[in-house]
Amino acid sequence: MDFEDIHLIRKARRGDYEAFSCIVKNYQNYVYSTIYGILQNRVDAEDVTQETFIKAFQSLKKLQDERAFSTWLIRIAIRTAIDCLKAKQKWPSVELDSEKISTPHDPHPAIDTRMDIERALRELSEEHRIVTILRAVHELEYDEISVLLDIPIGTVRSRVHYARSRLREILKEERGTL
Amino acid sequence: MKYSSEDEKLTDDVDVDVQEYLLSLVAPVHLHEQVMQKIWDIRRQKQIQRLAIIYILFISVGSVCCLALLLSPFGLICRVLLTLVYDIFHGLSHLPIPLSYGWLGVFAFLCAVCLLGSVYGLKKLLRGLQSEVLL
Repeated sequence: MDFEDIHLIRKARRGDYEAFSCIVKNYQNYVYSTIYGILQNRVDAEDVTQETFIKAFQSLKKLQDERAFSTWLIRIAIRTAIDCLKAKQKWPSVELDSEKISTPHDPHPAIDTRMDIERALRELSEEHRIVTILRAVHELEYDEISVLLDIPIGTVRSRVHYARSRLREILKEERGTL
Repeated sequence: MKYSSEDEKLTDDVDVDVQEYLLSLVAPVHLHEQVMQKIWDIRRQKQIQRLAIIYILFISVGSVCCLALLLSPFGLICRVLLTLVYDIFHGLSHLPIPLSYGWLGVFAFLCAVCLLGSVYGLKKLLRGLQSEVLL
């Protein structure tokens, strides 16, 4: 985290609206991608991203160390995404087919690889997807994931192990069929 | 389930693919605007609530003061002083109604305004709280 971000966070903590707007701009892709990875649904990911930033704004004064902002923010994002998943399990809704289809983000030469990964992630269960994202993208340690998800460390290990081997299998199948 | 030492590594080839994929995702352009709009609404609601609380406190204290003034021995002095002021400007002979009832009327009017203000403030506060819950 650079000095500019820390400066912005300090200003936002003092109630500076513009500073928080800059923070949202700087971190929205980071938060959105994590949440999208977990939820695999564009509309829900947008809603949860909004909720995450609102929660962050409301509890910004509780943040002890500005340098830990990104980790703190991602924790809020993951907890909110998990709550969203729980609510969806409780109140299942009809999902449009268009939501299941890969979201077209910016065109890129490696689009096939991305589609493969997206499909492979979708094949995983939610619990395996979450640990994969926490481990792979946010590079959290097993104990950190264990605390964050409130599950035993052994479960984290087994989920990471299973998720990796399952992803490898799915990707191998998909790439083999191309 | 058996784990290999590979699992202890922070990232492996699959993780790199997942990381690249997720980091390439871009948030929709309207997201920032929506977030800031919601935050602005929350701020506004909080400001309304704060104002309503100050308003209620002010009006309540005002009402109590008016009543105390009216009922206490000090109230009598105040009424005499106010009567004197009134007399200076209008003269004793032009009093519209008997003194005590006149000033009692003024105080009663002030109290009524204060009470109405309190109810209005309370209504605003409740509306603010309700919209916060709905949000």
